[in-house]
Amino acid sequence: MSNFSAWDWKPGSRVVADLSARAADYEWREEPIASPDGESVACIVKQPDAGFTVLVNDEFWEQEFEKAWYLRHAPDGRLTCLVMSEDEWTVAVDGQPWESRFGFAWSTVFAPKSSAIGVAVQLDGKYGMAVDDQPWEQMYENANNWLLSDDGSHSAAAVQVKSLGQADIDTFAKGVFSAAIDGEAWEQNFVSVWSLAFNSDSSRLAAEVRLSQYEYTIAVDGKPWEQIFQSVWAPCFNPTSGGVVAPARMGGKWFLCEDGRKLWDKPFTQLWSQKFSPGGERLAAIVATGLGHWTVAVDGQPWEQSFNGVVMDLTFSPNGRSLACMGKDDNAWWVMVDGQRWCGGYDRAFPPQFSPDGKHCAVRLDRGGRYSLCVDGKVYSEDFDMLWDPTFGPESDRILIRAIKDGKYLRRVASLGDILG
Amino acid sequence: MTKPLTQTDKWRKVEDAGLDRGAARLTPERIEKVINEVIDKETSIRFQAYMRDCVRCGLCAEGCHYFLSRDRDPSYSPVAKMHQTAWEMVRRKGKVSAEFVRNAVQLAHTECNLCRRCLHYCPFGIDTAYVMGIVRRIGNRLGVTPQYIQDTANSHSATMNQMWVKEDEWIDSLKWQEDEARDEFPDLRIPLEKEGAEIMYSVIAPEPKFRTQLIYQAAAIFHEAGMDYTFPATPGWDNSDMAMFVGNNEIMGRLKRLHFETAQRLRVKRIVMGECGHAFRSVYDVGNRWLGWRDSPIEIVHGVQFYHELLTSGRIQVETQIEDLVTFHDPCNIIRGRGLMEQGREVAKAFCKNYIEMTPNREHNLCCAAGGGVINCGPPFKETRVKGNRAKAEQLKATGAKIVIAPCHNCHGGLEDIIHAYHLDMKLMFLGDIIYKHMKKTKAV
Ligand code: SF4
Ligand code: SF4
Repeated sequence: MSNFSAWDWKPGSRVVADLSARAADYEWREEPIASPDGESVACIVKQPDAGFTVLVNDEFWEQEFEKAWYLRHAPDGRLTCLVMSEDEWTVAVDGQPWESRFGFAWSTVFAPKSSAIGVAVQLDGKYGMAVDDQPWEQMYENANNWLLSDDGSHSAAAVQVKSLGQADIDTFAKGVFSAAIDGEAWEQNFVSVWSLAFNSDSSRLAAEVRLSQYEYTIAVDGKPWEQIFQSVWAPCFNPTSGGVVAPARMGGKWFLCEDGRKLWDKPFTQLWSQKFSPGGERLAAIVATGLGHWTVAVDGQPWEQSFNGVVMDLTFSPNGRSLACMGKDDNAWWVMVDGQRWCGGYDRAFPPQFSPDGKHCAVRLDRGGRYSLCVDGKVYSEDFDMLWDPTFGPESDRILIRAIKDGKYLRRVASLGDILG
Repeated sequence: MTKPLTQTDKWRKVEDAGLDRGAARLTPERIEKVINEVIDKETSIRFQAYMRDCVRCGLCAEGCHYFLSRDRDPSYSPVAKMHQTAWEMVRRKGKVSAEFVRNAVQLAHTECNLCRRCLHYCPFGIDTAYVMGIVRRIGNRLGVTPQYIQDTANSHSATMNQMWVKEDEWIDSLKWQEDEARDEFPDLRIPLEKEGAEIMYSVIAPEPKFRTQLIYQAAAIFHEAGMDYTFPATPGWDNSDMAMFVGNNEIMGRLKRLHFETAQRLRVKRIVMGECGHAFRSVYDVGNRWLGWRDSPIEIVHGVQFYHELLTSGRIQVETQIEDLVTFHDPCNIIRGRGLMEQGREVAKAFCKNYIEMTPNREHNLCCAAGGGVINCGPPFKETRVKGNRAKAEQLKATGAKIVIAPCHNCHGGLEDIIHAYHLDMKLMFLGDIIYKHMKKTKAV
């Protein structure tokens, strides 16, 4: 993770790149993406009578490729792209392709607290992951649900450990799936395995498992809970107790359980995406209290306000005191913080971003095809052709705005006072 | 009381590994437990009303293509189907034999398309399709489901698509179609994972697997119309739902959640889907509700609606018209289920000079006999399907049309077999086929 305190936080605005400056040097370009610190903007370009490469500000990567896609910044700011040359795929990081080559590479994943880069790979028809240029030694018939632990020390995926003939429903029913950590599969097989989660020090792995056609539970380190449910959703680890928390369906209703037992007594029509506050004191989840009544429950108690469409992007402030989400009512998006809706609705709203002190919240919005910023419920006076998620400065008093306006990519540090007026 | 039409030696048993091996594993206790559990805990007053209110008048028979096609054999009427399955299960309080369950599941899966035509004929509005869905659910919970459709449901749970398409194969298919299309449209892109695009385009798994030309065509139409769209590169791209048809609601919910959340992750404004009927039913009617949504949580536009929008807004224009006589097949799930009949016709008529209606049509149209998961039960039941739809062959033949447009994949599969088996001199097309061939291509070389 990059040291964002070291970024340039001086208030002011500057044009970093004119996106049309080198237009004569390429046939077309794909969508630009801004770096986390705002200092660069990059896009995949098709060069005349040649292959693809990446343009960063006004410099091209030296190498060109037959194909290139999935341009993404790692959390530390390095730029990754999936590239193909001579029918082999790999990852290029800041223009340098890995040495390992694959039949296919996709779904780049990053570890939020390290510099590890992982990617899903297929080699000679077998599937697994490669992390920092090292493919798993053991590969599988099929694999999915790719995951890197937070510290990047381990990778995991749901894997198919045995072959299946066409329409072989009997072998399937006996269980041919498992979870693999760094390529090593759990001993026990299941009918299905989904939604893997590591604990914070990467020493344990939990997953949703299906034991038979209609029996679901959570397995931790390969061992299923004793309790069996009608269905389950993705587990997570409780940072305080070390237990595993997951929604489970019983008697047609959803409950939140920890280590197989009910944690919240209250049943819901739907319950998912549970999330602990950073210190682990509070637990929130997205719930439906009835058909078409979506809201957030905190420690088992639903907020009064609800939405008929969707609730998503549950986000705690760093100090855990505030909680924000996006909600959709009749095709308009609203921001809801601590159970109260900000004035809204917008055509689109993106994940909320809290300031380090947890006192402010900023959201990127789309209003009629123009992007803007809303901070603490107040919409910024200016709009843009394109805008990336805002980032608060280390002192919580400024915001980094990364935007495109009139064909130019600009980096602006605005003081909160300027935005809030 | 009328003597129940039980499954006697006249029963039309077809061998199937999923049904036969599944039934062989059953015990009387398990059968009774599962039947009563499903009926008591998973059905509502609706099911009880259907069981109670039917007066056995037989008016529903006229609605069913199986009955019409089988020389009006009463055992093919909707009321008889309920009689031979759910009613007996209820009447005997779940104490039915493994053979009975096996045959009831065969019937519910292969002699009913869940097309809901009979519902229009019943004076009490009894929905036989709903009852057959409950029988399928019971069968699936007991592990008795036709082998081929169970395989697609297994694929859904393992790969989140119905055809065991692996993640790299999906992306590779799109990249391949993009390459192909660039010969015709040099600057065409098939955008993948474009966050914030207006539209996420979703398809069914047979498209990357067997019908990649449909992806090509859709990309060409999107390109010509200048639409801002994307495909996801992750599972969630397949909108189809055989889990719904086998009655595995838990896997159905998982699939639909992933489909909707994939669109939300990409922050698109709406999902446009290709020409598939059952997938549409699963997003606006079934899967969404199981998850807790009253409607779809993100606007969903069927291919027919989308093409109509492109045409009426002038984003695509007609360059040439088809001279041959053309007719239009109304797929149950988008027409009886969602009323898209006029939009489909308007697009068809814009591109076809000579157009003729089938009789009956629109919400009264006869089913293709493939939908409702019937074609997905695979080769063992092809004859049941084809013989069960002579009525459709007669309906098609009476139009004299040379082309039949069917904006649904299952309808294509079913009608292809009907056209072939009854020697009809007709060609099948999707609306997308017609638009691609006959639109103005201003961006092509
Ligand atoms: S096939 Fe259609 S008309 Fe016949 S019983 Fe089933 S739902 Fe009714
Ligand atoms: S028409 Fe309705 S009431 Fe009459 S037999 Fe059919 S389902 Fe029963």
